[in-house]
Amino acid sequence: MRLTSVRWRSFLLVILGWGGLAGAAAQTALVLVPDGRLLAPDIARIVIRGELIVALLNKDTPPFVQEKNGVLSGVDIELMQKVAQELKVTIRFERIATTYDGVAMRVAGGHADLGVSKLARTFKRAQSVLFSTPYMHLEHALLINRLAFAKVAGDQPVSQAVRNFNGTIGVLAGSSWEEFVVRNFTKASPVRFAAWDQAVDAVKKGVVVAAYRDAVEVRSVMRSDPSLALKLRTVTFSDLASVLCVVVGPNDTVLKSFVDEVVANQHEKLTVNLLLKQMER
Amino acid sequence: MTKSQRLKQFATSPITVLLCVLAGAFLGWAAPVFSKHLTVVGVVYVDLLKMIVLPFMVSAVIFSLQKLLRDGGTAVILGRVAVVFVAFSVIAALLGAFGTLLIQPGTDMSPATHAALGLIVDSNADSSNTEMAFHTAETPPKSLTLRDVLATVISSNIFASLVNGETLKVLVFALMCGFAVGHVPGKIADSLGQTLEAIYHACQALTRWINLPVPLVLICMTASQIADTGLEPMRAMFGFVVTFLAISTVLLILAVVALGQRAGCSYTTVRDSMRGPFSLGVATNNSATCMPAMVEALAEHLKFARSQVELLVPLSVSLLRSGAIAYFVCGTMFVAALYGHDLSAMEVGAVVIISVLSGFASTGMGGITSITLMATACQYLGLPFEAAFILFVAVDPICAMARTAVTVISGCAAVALVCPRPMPMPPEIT
Repeated sequence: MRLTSVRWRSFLLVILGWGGLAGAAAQTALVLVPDGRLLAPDIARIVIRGELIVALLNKDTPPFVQEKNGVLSGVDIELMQKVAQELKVTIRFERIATTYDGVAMRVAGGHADLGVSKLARTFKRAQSVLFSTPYMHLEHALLINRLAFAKVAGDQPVSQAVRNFNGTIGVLAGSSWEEFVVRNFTKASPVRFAAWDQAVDAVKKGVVVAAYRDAVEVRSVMRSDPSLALKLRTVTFSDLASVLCVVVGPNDTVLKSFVDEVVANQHEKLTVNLLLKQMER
Repeated sequence: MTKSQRLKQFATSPITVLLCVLAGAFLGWAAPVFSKHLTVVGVVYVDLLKMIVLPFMVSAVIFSLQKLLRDGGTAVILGRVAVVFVAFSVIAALLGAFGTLLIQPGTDMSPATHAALGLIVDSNADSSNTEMAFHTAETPPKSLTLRDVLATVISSNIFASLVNGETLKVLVFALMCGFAVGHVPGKIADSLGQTLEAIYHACQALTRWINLPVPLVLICMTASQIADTGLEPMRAMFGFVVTFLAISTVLLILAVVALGQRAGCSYTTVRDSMRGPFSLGVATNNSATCMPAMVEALAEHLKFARSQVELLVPLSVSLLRSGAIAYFVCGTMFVAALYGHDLSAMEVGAVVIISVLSGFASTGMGGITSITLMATACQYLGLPFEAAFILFVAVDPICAMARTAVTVISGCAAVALVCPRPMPMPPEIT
């Protein structure tokens, strides 16, 4: 009886699919999975496999992704575990990508279902993947060498000198910051660094005037060593934010709405101060 | 010597002042919670002295100008004021530069000291992080016009200026009023002169009474300040504080020598006469409150012409900021050393000139606000000032004492140089 009803519903949906646009038909066709559920093909793919594959950066990005004694934890990991739990599948993290853009490309290439690791929306990534609704807005910030900045700023007030910034700015290569620095600091000269620590060192030594990244990373530099305050300062922007999202494959529209739903059901609102406190703990 | 004279001599002795500062520092360090409650003593004391400043200044300036105009020679005096004040400012700046070059605070600091300074800066969240809107540009600050400058010295409503304690505007009013009263026929102006003289003497008597508890006030003020900042800033900024205290000591000695030469009396007499202004300056960190004590020291103890002293003391307190100028030079050169910026001779010269100008610009400003003027010289050298400002504020309880003492005593010396030499003192009858 149940099987007949399922078949009847499948038949109806297939008919409806044919009634719609030809291009969308293939996507609206539902798939019957072994437990009897009728699922969209992108969801069915995961359920049939019994495993959600999530691409991560191969470096820790605390407090979003970090590995301790072989166990992964962090804000992004918890979010992905919730998605897997709701899909009733196990989860497998793959840590192959060496850059943030690389994580997005793993998803775009079909090697992973979802991608996280403090990934922000960028025009470049938007051309190859889908983004979930944001799960956090992370303010942009500058880590500034006071002495080098004073020479660049002249007699301008800090805020004006920052807006007209024409010095060197260090950014992480292969990250969204490459795009943001060009978009927001048109007069500045970006300098790419393979690792954030290298960019921070360059600011400390005055090799570059500033380093550009999110408020969590920038402020945690000062929090980890308050004695740097004589040499360095930070500027955080209230109206410039990285919109952090889960990266979804270009054809996985239902999976994207599923992730949106999980994000919408998150009760705790993530803020920079909350994350900094988590990092201190 | 009466009992009250003995008490005054004890209260204003430099040794008493030094011991009280040390005792206050110890109390603030040992019992910070209790010491924080002592802030009220200092606040009430300075308010009591400030209460006297404006009536004293108005009566002294109008009264003295009225007499000077009647006797003649005002233009000559004012010409000499300009020369002496500029000369004093330049000497203070040059000595500041020389002393800082000699001691070189801020160079070869240990990493531990650098870290300690960083921690002090970090304790002020506003200094280490600036939150701003990137896309919303603030309205640019209005450029200063001649009208703005004049508005800072000319009062449209003298009663409002008196109520708001705008010393500079009141001084300008008193000067103009004094000139005007000087041109009023003697018979009519005499009654005003007598009234002003009565107010003037009453203010001096009040100052004398208020001066007596200076040691207690010094202990309370130092204790509350140290309780607020702790001793850590002093430890980390030791080099700078010692340098500035050394420069201040040299400036004080030079001022006493100049006073002795001009007054034609022994240095012991000068030292004793300067006890009042010195201890009051150290206790209150406010040069305006020292005016009655300065007039008393110069006119009554060192016998300079009272009518001129009464006019020149308010002028020197308002316009001659030797302590602040030496501080600006020393502070700017310390910031340069802190950030590893080697100063060329040209740059040192520029710091001296900018600091002298900043000193004149600090007219009407007090305490921490005036420190911000150091930013001009730092900006010229391409040095960051906002972090150093936190450090200067942290050690200002001690530096402000020296700054005010230098401003007050060198102000007395400047007045002595402008005034004609007093008649030789009669030999003391033994």
